[in-house]
Amino acid sequence: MRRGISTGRMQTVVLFMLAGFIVVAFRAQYLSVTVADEHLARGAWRTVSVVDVEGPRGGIVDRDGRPLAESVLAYSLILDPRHFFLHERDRLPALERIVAGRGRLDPDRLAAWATAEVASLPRSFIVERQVPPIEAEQLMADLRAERVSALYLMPEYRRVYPQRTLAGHTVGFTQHLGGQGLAGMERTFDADLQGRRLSWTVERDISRRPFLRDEAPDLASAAGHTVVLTLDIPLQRHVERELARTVAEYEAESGVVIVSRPGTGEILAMASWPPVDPNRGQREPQDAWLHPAVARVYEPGSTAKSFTFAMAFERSIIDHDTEIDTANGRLRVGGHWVRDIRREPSLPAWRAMALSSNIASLRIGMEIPAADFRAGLVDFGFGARPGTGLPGESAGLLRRTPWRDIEHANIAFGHGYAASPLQLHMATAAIANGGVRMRPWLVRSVVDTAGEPVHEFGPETAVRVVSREAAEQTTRTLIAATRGDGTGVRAAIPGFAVAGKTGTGELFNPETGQYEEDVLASFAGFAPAESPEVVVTVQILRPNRDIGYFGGVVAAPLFSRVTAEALRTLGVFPDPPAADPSAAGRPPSRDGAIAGTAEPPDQPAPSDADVLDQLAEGQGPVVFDAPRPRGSMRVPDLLGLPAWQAVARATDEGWDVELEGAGRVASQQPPPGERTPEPGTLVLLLTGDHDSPQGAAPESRAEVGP
Amino acid sequence: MALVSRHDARLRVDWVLLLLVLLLLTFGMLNLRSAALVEGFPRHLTQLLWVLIGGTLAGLIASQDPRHASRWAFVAWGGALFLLLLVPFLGVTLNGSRRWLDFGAFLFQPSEIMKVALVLATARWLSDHPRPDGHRLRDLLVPFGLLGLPALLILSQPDLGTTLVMAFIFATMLLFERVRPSTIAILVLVAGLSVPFAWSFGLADYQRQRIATFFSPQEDLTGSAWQVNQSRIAIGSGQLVGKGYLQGTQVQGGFVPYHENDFIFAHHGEQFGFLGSAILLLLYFAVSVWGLRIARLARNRFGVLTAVGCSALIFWHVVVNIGMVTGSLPVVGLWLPFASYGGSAMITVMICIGLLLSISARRHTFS
Repeated sequence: MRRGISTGRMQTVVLFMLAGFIVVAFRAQYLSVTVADEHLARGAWRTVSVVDVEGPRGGIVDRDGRPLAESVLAYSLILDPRHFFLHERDRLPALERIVAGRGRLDPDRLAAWATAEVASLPRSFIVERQVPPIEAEQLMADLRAERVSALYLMPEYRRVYPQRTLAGHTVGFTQHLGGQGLAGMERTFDADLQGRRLSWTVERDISRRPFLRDEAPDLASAAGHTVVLTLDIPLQRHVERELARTVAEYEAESGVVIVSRPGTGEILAMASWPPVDPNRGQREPQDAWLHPAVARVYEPGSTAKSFTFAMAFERSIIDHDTEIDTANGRLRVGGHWVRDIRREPSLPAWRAMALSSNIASLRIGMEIPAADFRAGLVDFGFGARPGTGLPGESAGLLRRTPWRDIEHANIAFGHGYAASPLQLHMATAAIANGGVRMRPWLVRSVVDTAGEPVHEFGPETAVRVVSREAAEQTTRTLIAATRGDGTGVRAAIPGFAVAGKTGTGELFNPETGQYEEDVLASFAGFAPAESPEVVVTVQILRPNRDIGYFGGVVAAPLFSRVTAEALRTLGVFPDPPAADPSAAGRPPSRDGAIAGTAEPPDQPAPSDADVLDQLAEGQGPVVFDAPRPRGSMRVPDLLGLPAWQAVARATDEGWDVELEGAGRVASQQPPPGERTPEPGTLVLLLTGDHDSPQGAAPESRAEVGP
Repeated sequence: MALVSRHDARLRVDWVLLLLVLLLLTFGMLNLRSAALVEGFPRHLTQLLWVLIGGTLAGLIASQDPRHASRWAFVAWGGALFLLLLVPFLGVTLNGSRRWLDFGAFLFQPSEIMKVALVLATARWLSDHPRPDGHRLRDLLVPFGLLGLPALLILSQPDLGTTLVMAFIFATMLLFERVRPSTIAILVLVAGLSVPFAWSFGLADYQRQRIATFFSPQEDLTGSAWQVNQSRIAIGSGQLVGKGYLQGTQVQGGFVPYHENDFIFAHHGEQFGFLGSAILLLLYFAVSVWGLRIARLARNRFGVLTAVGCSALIFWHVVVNIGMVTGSLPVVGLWLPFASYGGSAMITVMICIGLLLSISARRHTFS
């Protein structure tokens, strides 16, 4: 027993084993204490990383919350090539199948990676961005089934403009994929719109998926603020449609229409044609993004005669019936001939306005000293930026005094200075507002995700330009301009007194120093004349002279249609034709004054037929906020429609719309045809057809809305 | 577990060894429970089956006199060699090595069972051929044949780790034999000369690369050093007291490949920290030394050598495995006794325990 083993050898072996264990234990101690401290000091544990995530960009909505710009959830498809070729190389066929036809990952690149040194491969490669959620789910299922963990999806947001070109200039756009705002309100309110950055410390596993146990930050809570515009989308849509019609009808180059309320300066619609599509962003021409209503300037022309008259009324240089010597339509000023179209020896002031006499205008304008005249124009807002906040606003051109006689004369009838359509509009609105010029009000508020206002904006008075009396006298002459043989007779709206002024300005070419043959046909006016509710300015650039030329022909009918629609939108109705005028609660005195001029007040003008046609066309005077019969509402069928069309239709019918994804409507909740007492929120699931907002043919752009 | 025949009053159950083994198995199951979370496959339950099979086998062996083991030693060696010979023809290839036989329900690795068979056969031959004046070189030809034949087959699978550990076990057993100084000198010389030869001809490319990586680990952090680097980070991140059971992030995050078998210690180190690692190492040390104590008390030469061989088997696996997982030794693919996932390994180590129990139980009986 106990034989064959020497104590010495046994001790040696035990010591040897002890040594082995001690070495290994020291090694573990080294890793766990010394190296661990190093790693901790560097904060370099492989799985912990700080990720900067950004909440969705806030929306841009109209006055009733209808969306013009919003951010919808989308995903980035990202490949970790190093991980893939290190651990999942055998799943290459599956990977190829999944990414086939997607983004930038072509077979050549994969083949190059497959033969490259694994260590040289990148850790992340963006295969595709802005994958809609429905597709993303399918992808995730595929990836799980094929056990490809190197390809993964990261949530991000996609900027969509569901109304497409609608108010595109005002909305603007962001850098590709929802970055910085580059144009329009996207740019002006970029800081407010941007989602807040959250630093998210995540533990990630080998495939970079955040650990399930980690709480993902609530991205929606970090959403940017929402910008609420004063625009009314249904009205804006109507205005754009009518503007497009007129531009097409007269083969014009472009056109602008502005609709606002005189008392507050709030802009209900501001349209420019041709339109721009925010969904196309940088693919639209660079200069197309400046809103022509604020960025382009023209000589205001005859529409500015109302300001000359207002200043003259203010200074009691004339009154309504003052006879003005119009020199048989030919007058030589400072070596230049000034002509009128009608050759009259003299005209009463109201009729000089109605017939747009250049000579009468310059005669009364030159009664006012140049410095005073200039100060008056400045009060009307010329020579200074209106302050909508839109990028690229122009201040126009207004030369300093002293003026030569011919300059003074030109300026008196609307030439020799330049203004943007909005400047002209706000000046006209000052007359409608009893002589007080308001600042344009385009943004109602900026609200946070809870709907609490961050910034609020309201009506802002700029300056009293002329007295209430002078403004009212001017209005009376402008009413005359839309009646009888007035130049603006086609601007009339049945049942309303319309005040407004035509303009047919030859375009000054700064390069040649000459006036061109082409004109700017314009109309600026308001209605109802006696208590104005809406101011509308129309400018049509370069109509085809063979089709139409004068502001009274090209612009006035459009003014009439737009103004009628705006009045309907605002719930302002014409007096019943047979009703006692006093029953309408309006003082008949002004009509009386006009009637006293022996002009037939409601002589059927050529434009009336157009107006009636337009009224008969279907919409009629619809009451916007009238209660709908209970249970009579049917959910519209939006299936298959592109997002912009679906949103247009749904919002027009009073629904709030929530979008998920992009493309065409795949399903909707509630389903089509369901009866409901009143419109609520309509959830639209969109899929596929990414490019539908951009892909439609240009001619269909006019067909905005149902 | 120990099915010791009750009517023999002189038989003793080695409670110390049993307790140590139970503690080690407990740690092993805890770590496999944690490993099961990574892929969601309940490995710990599968492993429990192998523990039961292995335990039953150990009990059966413990209940028998070591003489039976001695009688069947060469048969066991021959059987294991036969299975090894089948591998090149019928074997299953995994990760570039053909080491496994497919038994339908499970894969079996004959090289594992060969480790125990080698211990038994070597112990049998050396106990049958005592040389009180010391072995000469030619006396050792047969034992070297017992080692060399299977070693060549295993090396060609290729499986460097198992080959080396067999050589280490064999060498440890020889330490307890009297060998002539001249013979020792020749053996050392041959071993020294064979290293460059083996490097050039005996190793596969990936084996050379692993060893090269070991000596310059920063060169390739994505390839062969990836797993070692990841397991080092995992173990290191456990720090002194660990992140807590099932609270690991590195291994749980899938950063450590083969975390369930060869790299199971990464789970342990990350979850239980250095203190946990030290306790585990103490248990392994205790088992190894207790095995040597059993050898010392064994009543005959075969028992002595078998007990030394079994202790050596456990010791070498532990030291090489943990050395490898902590980055102190090249990655050679060796399991950690009682801990790594796998049936062949569990059966092998439980047979060793059975033999140790059997020898220990009969230390006071006389033949």
